Amino acid sequence: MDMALDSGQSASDEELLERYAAGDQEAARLLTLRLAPGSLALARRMLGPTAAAEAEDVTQEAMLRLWRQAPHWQSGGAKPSTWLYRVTANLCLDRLRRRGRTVPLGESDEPADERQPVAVGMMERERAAALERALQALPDRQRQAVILRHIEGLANPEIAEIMEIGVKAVESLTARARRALKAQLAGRKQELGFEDD
Amino acid sequence: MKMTDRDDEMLDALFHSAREARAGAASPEERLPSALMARILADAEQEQRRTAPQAATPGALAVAEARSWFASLKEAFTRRPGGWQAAGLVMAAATGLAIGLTLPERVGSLAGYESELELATGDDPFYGFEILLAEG
Repeated sequence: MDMALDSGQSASDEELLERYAAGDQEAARLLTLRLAPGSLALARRMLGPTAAAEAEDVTQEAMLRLWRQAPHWQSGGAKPSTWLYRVTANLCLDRLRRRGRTVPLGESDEPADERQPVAVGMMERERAAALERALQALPDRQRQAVILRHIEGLANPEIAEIMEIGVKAVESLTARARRALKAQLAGRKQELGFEDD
Repeated sequence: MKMTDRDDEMLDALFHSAREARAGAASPEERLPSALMARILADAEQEQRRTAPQAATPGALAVAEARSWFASLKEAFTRRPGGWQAAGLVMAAATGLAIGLTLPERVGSLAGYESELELATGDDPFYGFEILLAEG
């Protein structure tokens, strides 16, 4: 059994970052496997489904900043995962600002299928596409908050740390985002297989 | 438009599906494409090469070690409540000990003068012993 690999897998993200800074290349591989998928998922959701390559660039840039930060990392501060989410979100917001606005609504639309979906898989895809479109229509900060809370499953204090705002502000952003999403999706309940009132 | 509990249920169901898709349904390649993984690891290696030579120099390591020792001592005194007072006490105790262990002539020279007693006794450790003997 590979003891080094074992100790690497049980090590915390901070320990792996320290080991990376000390020259351990395996620590870089483990950290990438642990942290990069979350960063990529957030970037994909924030930038929209048509910007897959851009989302990958964001994750690569965020990870590069993590490598550069490693020798100066101060334990006891933010967790590496929280730090990476913050950098990823800020890089996405920068790109969205440069675009002028988020993905135009029509741009993310997949070809509309007016027929009633029969297979469960099709219904799932339809629901995912509907949520994606509704998310893209939200203001950037609301979208960021609701993705971190309801899709990435983070707790409000961690989201507050990532977004550099208070917990109350996170609650307010997610509440407003939920209201906006419900308003957008309300007319599609039957189409998406949810019974109407 | 009037919001209902059903709207909340629908939204929660959509979020649930999205979480499921994110956690389980996506393949490892979809979660982190191998080309992206390779790019990230190449960056990591390049950064290590850029910063490693400085850290690997023996001199730099010694300096870093000395700094870290001093930093930990400083931290021990500054981080705790009353740390500076404790530092003062330690310094005073160390000074007292040093003075106590120093030879009397060094103390005299430290004070900047030779005491009369020292002038009288010189280096004779048995000064006055003969007088005592003579007097019985």
